[in-house]
This record gives sequence, structure tokens and C-alpha cells, in this order.
Amino acid sequence: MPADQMRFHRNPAAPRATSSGAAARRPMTSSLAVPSGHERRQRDASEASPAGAPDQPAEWVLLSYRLPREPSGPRSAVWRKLRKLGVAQISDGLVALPAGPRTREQMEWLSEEVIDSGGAAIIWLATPSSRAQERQLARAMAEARVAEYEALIATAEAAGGSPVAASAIRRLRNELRAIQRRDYFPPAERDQAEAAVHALSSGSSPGGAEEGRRHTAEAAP
Amino acid sequence: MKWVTRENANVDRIACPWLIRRFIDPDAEFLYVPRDEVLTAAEKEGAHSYDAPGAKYTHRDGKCSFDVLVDEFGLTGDAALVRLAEIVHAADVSEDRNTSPEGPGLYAIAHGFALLHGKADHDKLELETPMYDALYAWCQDQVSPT
Amino acid sequence: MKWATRQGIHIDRAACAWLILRHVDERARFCFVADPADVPAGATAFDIPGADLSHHGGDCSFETILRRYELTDPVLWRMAAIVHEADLDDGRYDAPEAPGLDVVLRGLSMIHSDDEILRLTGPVFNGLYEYCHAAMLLGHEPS
Repeated sequence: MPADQMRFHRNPAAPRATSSGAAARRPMTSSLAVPSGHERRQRDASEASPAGAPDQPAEWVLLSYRLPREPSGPRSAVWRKLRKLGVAQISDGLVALPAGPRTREQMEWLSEEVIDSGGAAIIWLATPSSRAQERQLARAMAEARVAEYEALIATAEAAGGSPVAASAIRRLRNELRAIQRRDYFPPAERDQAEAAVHALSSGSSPGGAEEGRRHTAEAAP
Repeated sequence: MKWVTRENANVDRIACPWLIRRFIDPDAEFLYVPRDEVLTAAEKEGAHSYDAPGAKYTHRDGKCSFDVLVDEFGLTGDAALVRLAEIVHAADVSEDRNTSPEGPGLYAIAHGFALLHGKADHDKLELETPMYDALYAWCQDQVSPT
Repeated sequence: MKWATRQGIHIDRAACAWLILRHVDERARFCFVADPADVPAGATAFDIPGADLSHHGGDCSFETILRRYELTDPVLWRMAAIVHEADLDDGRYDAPEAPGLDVVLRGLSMIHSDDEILRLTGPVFNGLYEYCHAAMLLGHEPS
């Protein structure tokens, strides 16, 4: 993916699953004020921005860990969780995420798990020494998400055209949400995937038909 | 202005006052009356009626009252509010409960307050207002690109 | 008794505080630390890596507290399923309420301090208890 398409602004990895879909994409507005007297508190980790100050790479949270080869159970469990978090694999036993309260907490629990399983782990906060290096990390992570979104889109499109069970739609929505939660540098495919899942749910089941009617009503001038 | 609806509020009749006070009528006064008295109370008090059969702003075309207020008062340009409306709709309209992942959770919160407080609608409004503020703040965060 | 946890409370810590106040220590006082080393002497730590009352064996801290204090109320365990999925999202339980709870807590943390969050969420968890209770009695979501 071209570097200039990387979105380095805030990247909500929390789900933005929406039933409106891309066709009804809302215009962005400036935020209305939060209740006065309160500050915006530090962003949730899943909304961590890697941009920091314009010229500086941002802070990342790293987990360096070592686990015995045997038994293999704990290693697999840790690796499954790392994959679910969408970490950047720096090298064997060293993974990274954009730093924020949530990602730091998630990495800390994981380091505890490694230690409880008889391994060793340390959590680091670090800044890549150049923007180019940070972009490389971010690109690798975004490309992994692109592949996941594309697979989801393919599944959704394959299922379309005939009535889809509510349970299948729910599964796809959950899968979409899981990908979004580990998506720190949203590619264009994120919105496409939302649109694909929405398209599936409107008009394809009784609940979906209701939703479809509602959005038809909303779309009317 | 006064705004009147049915007592024993769950989702819509807490979410709508939140919306009204925050975006439509900051000095709003809210009345909760027995179901059969909403329209007469509206006339007597010169109040807007909502979320009741025959009310001025109420469910139509599959939309809930919150959706209707957002439309009627020209608030659809606020992307965060539209996002919040999806959550409120899912929480309020049982057939659409799963159209937004956050719907069931808001439903649980609203219903929990209703079970605890019964017809003490003003207590519920006071306790739930911070939850809607929080949901709106989250929605703003979701739609804002900065 | 004094209880300590980390700053920036989210669903698990808020739920644990409610649980502690309601079922473990009605005179509980809470403090929030930036670093585990800052836990005051004599305070019981919860939801801090390394502490006893934290994540163990795939449980979140809410579940660990239920186990440690032998709280067997099935309604609390129904709540635990929601808190677990909201916090860990690992599919151990079927808890459709979890994303909504998660998002409300995220929003609260954008606006409020940790003390305020505890104050505001106490009633929410009281209500959630009633909701779970009703759901279990009915065998389905209460309407």
C-alpha cells in the first residue's frame, strides 16, 4: 500500500460497525463540545495515534518474551492472543503495538501470562528512531488487516443474492468487529467491509428487511 | 418548552429527553404521565408530546422516537449523533436489537434502571444522562478523524 | 479497608469496585495508582498484573474475585460473563450485552475521572444485576 494512503491519524480499533453502510456515509462534522468543565481524557489504547507530534514517531508498547518450547500449550495460547491483538512482529519473541492505555494493559496481562507459564517477559515503551521505520511497521500491520477485510468481503459477497440466516450475519458482524479491534491503521478496505456486511443484512432476512426499510426511509429527502 | 410522554420510561423516553435537552431545547421541562393522559396533558400544558400513540414525535416507518427527533430537528448532519441513533434504535426496537453491536448493552442498562426505579422517571433520567453523554463522546471519537 | 487498582479504569475495574463494595467490603475505599509499586501498604490490590485479585487462568479480575470470595450467586456469574466479554472479548461466553457496556465505559473514561466513574457506574451495575436476575428468571431477555 502506498505510504501516502496510510492514515496516521487516530485509528479507532474499537468497532465502528454500522448499519448505515458506505452508501449513507455521514459527512464529517467538527465535534460538538463535550460537557463543559471536563477534559478529554487520554485516548483509549485502541484509539492510539502513532502520529504524535508531526515530525516525531509516536510511542509504541513492546513485549519481549521467552517461553520454553515444551509444553507447547502456553506458547500457542500466547501466540493466539498476540494474533488477536494484531501485533507487529518485530522479531522472534518481540512484538509491538501503538501505545495507549488499552494496549499497554493488554500487553501487561499477556506478560503476566508468559511469566505464569514459566517464561520471561518485559514490557517496554519505545519510539522508533525514524518516521520511515514507523511507517514500515504500520504498513505491515495495515496490510495484514487488508487481507482479513478482503476475505470477509468475499465471504459476504458470496453469501449475498439468497436469504442469509440471521446467525450467519451475526457471525460476520462479530468477525468484522474482531478485525476492527486490531486495526490501528485503517485501510480503505475497512469501510468496504462494513458496507459488504451491511448490504448482506439489509433485505436478506425479516430483521434485515426491517432495517432495509428504515434506511430507505432515512435516505428519502 | 414542556415535553410530555408516557411514564415508566425504558430506552426511548430517556434517550429523547437527553437529546432534547442537549440539542433542541436546553430549558426543556419533562413530564411523565399515564399512557392515556399524554395527549390531553400536551394540550393542557402546551407541551410537545413524544413516544406515545398519536404523539407529535413518535415511532413511524420503523423508526423510533429518537430517530424521528433527529430527523425532524435537522440533526442528521452530526455524524456522531447519527451513530448514537443507530445504537438507541437497536436498544429500543426489539426486532432490530442486533443491528448495532452496542444495542443489547444499552438495552440492558436502560432496562436495569427501569427494573430498579420503576416509575421514578426523573431519577432514571438523572442517572442515565451521563451514560448517554458517554455514548455520544464515544461516537464522536469514532467519527472524528483527528 | 483500602483497595487499590490502576488508573484509567475500564469495565473490569469499575465492575470489581462495585462487587467489592456490595459483596465483600461495604466500607471499601478505593485509590488509583500509576505504577504497581505505588500500591499503599495495607491496601488490597485488584486488577493489577501480579496481584492475586487479577487475571488468572483466562478469568478477568471480576471472576477471580467471585472465586476467591466464593460468591456463588448465579446472577453475579451472569454479570461476570458480560464483564468478561466486555473486557477480554475472547468468546468464552455468549454475552451480547458486552459491546454496549464496553463502549459506555470507554465514553465515560473520556469525560470523567476514575472516582467519578465509580460513582456513576455503581447504579449501572445495580441495574445490570436486576436485569440479569430478571433474564435468568424468565429464561430470556426481559422485555
